Amino acid sequence: MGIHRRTRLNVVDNSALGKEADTTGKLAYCINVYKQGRRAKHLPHAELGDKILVAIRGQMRKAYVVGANTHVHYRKHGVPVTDNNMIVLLDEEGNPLGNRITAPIPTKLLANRGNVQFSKVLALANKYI
Amino acid sequence: MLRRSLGSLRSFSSKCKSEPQTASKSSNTIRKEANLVGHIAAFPEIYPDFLQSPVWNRRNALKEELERRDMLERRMNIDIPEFYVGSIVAVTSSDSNLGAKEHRFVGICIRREKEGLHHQFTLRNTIEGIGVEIMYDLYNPTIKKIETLKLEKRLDSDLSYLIDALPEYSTFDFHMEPLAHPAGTPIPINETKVKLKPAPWTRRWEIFGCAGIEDSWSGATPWFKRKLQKTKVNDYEKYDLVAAYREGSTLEHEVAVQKQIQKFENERHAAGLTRRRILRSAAAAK
Repeated sequence: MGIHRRTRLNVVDNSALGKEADTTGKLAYCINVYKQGRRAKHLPHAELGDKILVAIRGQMRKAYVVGANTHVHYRKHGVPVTDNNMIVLLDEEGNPLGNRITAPIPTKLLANRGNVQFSKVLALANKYI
Repeated sequence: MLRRSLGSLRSFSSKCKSEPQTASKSSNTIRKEANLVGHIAAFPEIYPDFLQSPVWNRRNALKEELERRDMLERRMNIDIPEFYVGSIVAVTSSDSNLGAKEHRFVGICIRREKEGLHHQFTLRNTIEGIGVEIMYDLYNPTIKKIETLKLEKRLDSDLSYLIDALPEYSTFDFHMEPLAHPAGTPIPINETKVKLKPAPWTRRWEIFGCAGIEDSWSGATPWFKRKLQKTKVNDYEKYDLVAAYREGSTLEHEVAVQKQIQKFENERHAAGLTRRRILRSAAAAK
């Protein structure tokens, strides 16, 4: 029901760190959402294309949300909803950690092309849904 | 469903020795009228968007009338085919983000919700091992084309459980050829019973009594099995005829709407603007 603190996330890029987290079953989880919420001191839910901070294998990493399992009541017309929450990890400079995205990602993310950091993530995608 | 249950009541009352003739008089006229307009028996299933809200204080005759006019106008511009929950549907919608400016999605219809202009349907498919669901507003103008690739029904009227089923049950080919339904034959019911993935599930499927799940009870976790005795199970609700009347659609409403659709169609056809037909039923076609 929205990506929030402690929501578990699947890494869908081919970075070694992400693969390790997915194969060991100790999934990455969200610890912060870089977004201004409606209420002060309350963490907003991350949506498609939001940047979050995740805890993964004892490290903290920034990541972009590229697939969200949205609640039925909060779905929008024509926006794909995946069964898992999917993220793409970023390194310290804000560049993607892997060099390929292994899952199809929603076309709605293409609207964020103007963002320099996010366009680097989009460049790794090979299939859109 | 409701009319069937009411019909059985009526036949019961005609055999009853007390013969409450006054009670059945009004229903006879509506039956006659329904025959006169050629009422489609499966109207609530084919046109769930033309029904009234099951919540009575949300029913508003003026709002429904205005929405119905908009819906009919839209249906003159786009061909909305007949499809059911369980049918395989392809939707082409315009998408400004893509180079082709349009996006096609194929999937099984798992849900049809809400009445009027806000009617929604959800398609589900598995793409590269990832389950994807897309909700579409039926009357959203960004939809360019809706095709029914395979017209069929499933055992349930809500297939939300496919999210917890094995991925093979929700995998459909994007390049699937449309299968023509022979006119005048009843809609086939696909009697597949899906196998669920091991628990935990998104919901407690073992207590909903879905006909399309194979043995949901043995798949449930012991914790939830123990919890069953503390759970309020509303399985008696199917015997509540008054609730069925309140939530279901009435023949009076269906006949009135069908008359309105026919009038609208005839007006447009007479004006020579279009030859598109809105009222169609694959099962009742001649």
